[in-house]
Amino acid sequence: MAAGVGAVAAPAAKLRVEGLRFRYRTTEALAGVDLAIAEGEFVSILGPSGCGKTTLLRVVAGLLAPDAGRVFLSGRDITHQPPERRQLNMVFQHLALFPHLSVVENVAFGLRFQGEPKRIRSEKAGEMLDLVGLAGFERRSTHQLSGGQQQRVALARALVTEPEILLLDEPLGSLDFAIRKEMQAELKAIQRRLHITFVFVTHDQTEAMAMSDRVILMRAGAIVQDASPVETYLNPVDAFAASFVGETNLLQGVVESVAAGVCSIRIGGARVRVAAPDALAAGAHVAVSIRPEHITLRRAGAPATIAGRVENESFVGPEVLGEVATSIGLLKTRESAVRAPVGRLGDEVGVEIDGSRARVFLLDASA
Amino acid sequence: MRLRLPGWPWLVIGGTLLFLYGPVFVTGLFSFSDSNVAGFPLRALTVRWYVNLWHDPQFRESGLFSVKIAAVSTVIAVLIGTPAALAAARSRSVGMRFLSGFYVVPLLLPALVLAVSMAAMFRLLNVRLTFWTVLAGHVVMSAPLIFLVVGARLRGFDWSLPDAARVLGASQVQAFLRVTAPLLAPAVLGGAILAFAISMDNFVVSLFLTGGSSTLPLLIWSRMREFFDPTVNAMATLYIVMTLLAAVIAERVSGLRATRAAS
Amino acid sequence: MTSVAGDPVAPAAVLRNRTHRRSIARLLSTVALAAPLTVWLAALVAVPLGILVVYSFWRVVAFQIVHVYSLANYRASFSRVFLRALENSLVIGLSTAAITCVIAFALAWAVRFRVRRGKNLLLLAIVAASAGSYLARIYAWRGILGAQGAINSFLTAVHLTSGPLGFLIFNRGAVIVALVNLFVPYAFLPIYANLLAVDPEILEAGRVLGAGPIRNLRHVALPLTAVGLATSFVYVLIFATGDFAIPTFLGGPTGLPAAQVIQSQFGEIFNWPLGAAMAIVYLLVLGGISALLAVYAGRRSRRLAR
Repeated sequence: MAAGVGAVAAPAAKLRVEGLRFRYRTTEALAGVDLAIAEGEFVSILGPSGCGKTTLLRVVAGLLAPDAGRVFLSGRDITHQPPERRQLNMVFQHLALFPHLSVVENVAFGLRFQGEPKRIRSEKAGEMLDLVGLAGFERRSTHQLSGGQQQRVALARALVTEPEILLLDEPLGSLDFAIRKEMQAELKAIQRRLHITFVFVTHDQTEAMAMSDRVILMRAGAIVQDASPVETYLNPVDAFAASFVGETNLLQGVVESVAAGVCSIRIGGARVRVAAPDALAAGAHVAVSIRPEHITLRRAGAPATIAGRVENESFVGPEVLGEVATSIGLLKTRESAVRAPVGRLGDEVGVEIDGSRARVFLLDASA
Repeated sequence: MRLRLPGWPWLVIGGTLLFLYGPVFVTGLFSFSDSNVAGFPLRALTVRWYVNLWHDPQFRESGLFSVKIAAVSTVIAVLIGTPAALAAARSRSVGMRFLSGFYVVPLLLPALVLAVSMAAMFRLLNVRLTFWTVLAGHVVMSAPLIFLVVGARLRGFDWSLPDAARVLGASQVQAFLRVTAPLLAPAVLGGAILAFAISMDNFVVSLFLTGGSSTLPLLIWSRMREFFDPTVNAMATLYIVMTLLAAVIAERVSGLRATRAAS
Repeated sequence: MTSVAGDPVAPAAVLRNRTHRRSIARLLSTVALAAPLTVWLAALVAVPLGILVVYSFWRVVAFQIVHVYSLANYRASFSRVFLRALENSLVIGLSTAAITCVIAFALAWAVRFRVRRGKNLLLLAIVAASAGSYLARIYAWRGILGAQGAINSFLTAVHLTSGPLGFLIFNRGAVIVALVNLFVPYAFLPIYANLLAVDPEILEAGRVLGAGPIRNLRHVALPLTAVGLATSFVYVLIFATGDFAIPTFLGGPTGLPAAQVIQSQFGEIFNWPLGAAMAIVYLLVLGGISALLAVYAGRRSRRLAR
């Protein structure tokens, strides 16, 4: 499918999947997925619920058997291996800590199946608990721990067996905001330190963008875009990608003329000039993505602006988020609160759009 | 929602508990009464009825028989009821759902009908009534109970736990032994204790399926028909105390913990 | 399960077979798990019931069971003796169920909504009351209600009465008292479980909106608890109607319970086919009533809620 800019095509890919298909009752949870992840990468699989990201993870882990396709780990075909034979580990969404075992027994669990004697198991488990900052918690029962602490136990348990890759299924979803931020940083630090490949599934795009080397965006069982966070944000591959990652104004219009990389598009009652590839033809229906930070509010009637009125504004920390009604639609804006505001609630303003930053996508049935 | 009667909750609770435990206390009281007749005023206290019981061969024999039946039937019930509960938890198919309903039928049918139909079948097949026929009947009553109790525990079960064990390297069997089974054990144990107590107290089914031997309830039944036999009081008291203990232990181990958590 | 290493692209058919095989294996293992219980109950419940039906069509000639088919037994079931016994049992069963459910409901309500501390101990005490020998309990009632029993001897000892009160025992009332005593803990559990799911705020909302305590109970609380109540009622009805030890020992001459009539066919009278037919008739009647009640409760709860 769409292997976008930045896909690693290294022959020694740590994890590679080819043509994975999985059908659950009447839905195609995975509609032919191809992916390659290099050693030491922190990759996020991002998408709305139902896009297939958890299914993909479970197929890689061996908890589900694909209807078609293959999974390769360090070059070995593991498609039909049961989960216990695969050299990978997984942190589950609700952590799945064993309630009948103590913290250290949880962490040491996987070592038992690697044939380590008991003394070595306890030692290694103790070291790993130290690494995640839980030294001294060995004998505790898992119910006595806070959310963040339980996270760390789950992580320690998954890492102590030195897996080739670590799969994480939305592990931070149940944490409070502040703890989540903290855990994100810690996960990243641990990953860098141990140099283990992380495959992290989430529906939270800020999380994916903050932590990953690469973001794989999925929708309806297929990969939409596979690129670095910056690339995904600046050059989304279609209207869905543009609106899912970061905030944007998605407007629909018709191309009036194209010349020298500049497009004139009629949207609603006005005309907008944006940078666009020459491949667009006049008369084409398109979606235009304009991010709020690329819109500037000027005095009403200023040159090269569209008339608008401020309908809504909310003060969020260092910025003011606004909604401005114009002839091309209700636009979301984002201005620094430090500078004197151009227009307050109810005022008439002039909306200036930085056309060079807008993105244009051909509209087809799926956009 | 307050009725005009202040303090009514505790009146209801106190009154009902008094009513429920009344027979228990009275039996216990009179089992120590030094008189052939159960009645006030108590003339003297004695333990001679218990002593009589201890020396009573029929009591020993039927007591032992009841315990054997209860123990073996409980073990069998656990061995066939637990896997069935696991099967019901794994499969949502129409067949399985129908079977789940079928398994509960013995608990809904009047015991008399069950007992009578089993007796009819044994007669037709010319099967003699022995320990094994009674045992079979008791399992019919216990196994569905185990199925329900374990099934209830499985409904709230976190299946990502054995999944996690498998990803960590355990085979399916190992994941079951090390993760699923220890977590099911309290429920199985609680159910087993309940099943044991119910088997000890079983009357109707035993009545129709024993040959010559007698279970403890059947002994009480035959003694009861002779009017003034005070040892029955002693037997009854012992019985009640033991089953009360069993109920307490069963609750401790599993059971009401869930109700407690929800309230 | 080993991997097919070195194989460039496995044909789709092979992969599909493997998945197919895996789901067959899963199906087989589920069947294997459920088989023992299924076989046991089929052999000892389903088959015997079938045999009972077959028996009900046979006859007894000169103390031998003859395999001749006829409906004679069913006609005989509708004899006065059995019908009266059935009616007796049903009256006892329905009264017991009604009284038990009222008490259990009040108790469950009190524990659920009015008890702050010691709830666990209370619950334990209520459930533990169901323990204790069934027969011993009956014996105890004789000792309480009998002519020389606890109540009578107490009343005589404190000179409130001059002689024993005969009406305490050997009548329908005594039977019902003993049955209610037996079944309250069992009826309590489904009702209590149902009440746990009722948010007290819903009841408060009813009061705030203007419903007095009785109206609130009828229009708000009862529809929400209909399921638990119906479950308990049907449950107690089935077991109270089918009981034969309690009416036998405490009921005196006021009437045989149906269970006793059936049991005697298998015992002294030795007319198994007739007993079988009676048992089937009894089952059908009870089943019909339970089904009607369940449907009525379901419809009522929806109507009350409107």
